[in-house]
Amino acid sequence: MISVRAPSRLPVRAPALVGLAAAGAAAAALVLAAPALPFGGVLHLAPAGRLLLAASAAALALTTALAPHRVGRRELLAAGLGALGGQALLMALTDPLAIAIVLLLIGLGFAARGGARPFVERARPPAFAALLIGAGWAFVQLHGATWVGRAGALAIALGLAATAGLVPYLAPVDSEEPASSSFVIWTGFFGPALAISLPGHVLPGMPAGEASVFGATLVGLGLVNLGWGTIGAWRTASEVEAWRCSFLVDWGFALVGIGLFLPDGLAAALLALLAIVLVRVPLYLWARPALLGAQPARLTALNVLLAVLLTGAAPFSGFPVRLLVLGAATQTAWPLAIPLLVAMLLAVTYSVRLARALGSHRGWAAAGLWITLGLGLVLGLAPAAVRSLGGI
Amino acid sequence: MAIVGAAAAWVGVTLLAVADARRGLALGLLVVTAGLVLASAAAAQPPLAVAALGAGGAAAAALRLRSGRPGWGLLPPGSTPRLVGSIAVVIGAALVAGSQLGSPPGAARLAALAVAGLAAGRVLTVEHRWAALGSASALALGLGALGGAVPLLTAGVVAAGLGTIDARDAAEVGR
Repeated sequence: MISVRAPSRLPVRAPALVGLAAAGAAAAALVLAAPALPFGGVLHLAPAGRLLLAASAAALALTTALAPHRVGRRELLAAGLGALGGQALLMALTDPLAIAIVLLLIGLGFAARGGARPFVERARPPAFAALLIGAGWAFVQLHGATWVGRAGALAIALGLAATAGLVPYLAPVDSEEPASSSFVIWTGFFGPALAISLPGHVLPGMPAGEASVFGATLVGLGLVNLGWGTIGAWRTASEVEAWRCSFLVDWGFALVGIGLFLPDGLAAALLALLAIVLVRVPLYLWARPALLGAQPARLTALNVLLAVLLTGAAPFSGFPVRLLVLGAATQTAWPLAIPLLVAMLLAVTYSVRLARALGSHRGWAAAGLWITLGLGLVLGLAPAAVRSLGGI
Repeated sequence: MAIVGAAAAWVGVTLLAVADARRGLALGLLVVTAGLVLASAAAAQPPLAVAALGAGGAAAAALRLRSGRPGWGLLPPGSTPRLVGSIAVVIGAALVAGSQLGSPPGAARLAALAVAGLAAGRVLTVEHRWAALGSASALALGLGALGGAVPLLTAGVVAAGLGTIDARDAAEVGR
């Protein structure tokens, strides 16, 4: 049965675009200038946040200039600048309640942009995430009964998963939806920002019992997403869904890394989140024409190299992530390494499929793919430098 | 004063939950704001931050009058579950707040939790953009009232900011 659905697209107006871009640029400038301002203590961008912000700006420049798009590049740049400002605020705000409130504004603001799904459907996940993080933090701060604090820690971890659109909060994927209104904006842009900043803000305020609930929930969510992403990317019939599942695999490693509370795990999480922003999001945007049927799927020499990158093999970005997570897992409890190893091996099954879906590109678009490959190589070859830049 | 504020906030968010038109929604938002301002002031929160919360909530209520179904739309058919939900949420919030309920900060926290819970429930269940935006403003106010100066200030700004988002439903007609 074919269902016909009218897209919920309001006409894109120039003042709205300029306003979005200006608000984003102003927010980013405010965050960067905060140390010199009288209220500087409210906004603090940690080194890892600064690194992710720089990576996001680079990814935005790369994809706006070189990736093949159906929407206008000006519209994409305006949305990207707005998202960059939102990301900067999410990473710089030091109060988890303020983070939850800003998340609400970002969520509904982006849901109000055009998209294939209705506004209310796209507004629900960020609103729920804001409730989970805000109420969770309030529960932790109550210092009342033990169960209240632990429920709060659980809610904050679930709120992080809800923000990034991970299992168990997977939203339906509509291939026709513009990338800037789709799951990518949450899984590949705002989610990583929150994952980098939120644990650092909530953990110092949590007693040991609540912190262990938070960590264990993140590890559990990480393993579930790793399993779901690996099997999904391999078995699903839809190529777009396969790409979304590949994001879940990266997120799985990142969540396990954060939840272990070990330096190696945190470094793995930072590298995985940087790889999502700098490598996987651009590659997904390059795959869009083939995913929408505008271009045939092909396996060229470049695609084979990209398949190696997507497998997480050396010398690309996924390799140090896997190595560091395995190291951290074996330090904590060696059986944890078994599902991680299985997921690493199974990555071979879907990476060729994803690489084929990238299709074949010429000219500037091909140059953009080579640059993305180079970025993956830099992350893979210099994890120690990235780690030191991120302050881990 | 904190108890009065908490009661007003709960009445306001209940109004918001059972309103299916713009005036009812704006009135609910205004009463929520007044209640949270009273409760936060009684809990000795910084006056400037409380004023920002009040101003943001009032602006959000006024901006909600621009769009949405005309009229009050209070207690339409099918709203009984929302009414029952508003009672359940306040009981749940009281259970969580526990022994701290006797103090003004405890009462303020109870009000904020009830507002956040009910407003989030409304955002998650509505079908119209204007209703979702109004409820999200209430959610921002509730989350802000759970904290100190920075969350209060942020909540005021965000509640008003949500009010400025285009609330036209035209493109989603027929769903």
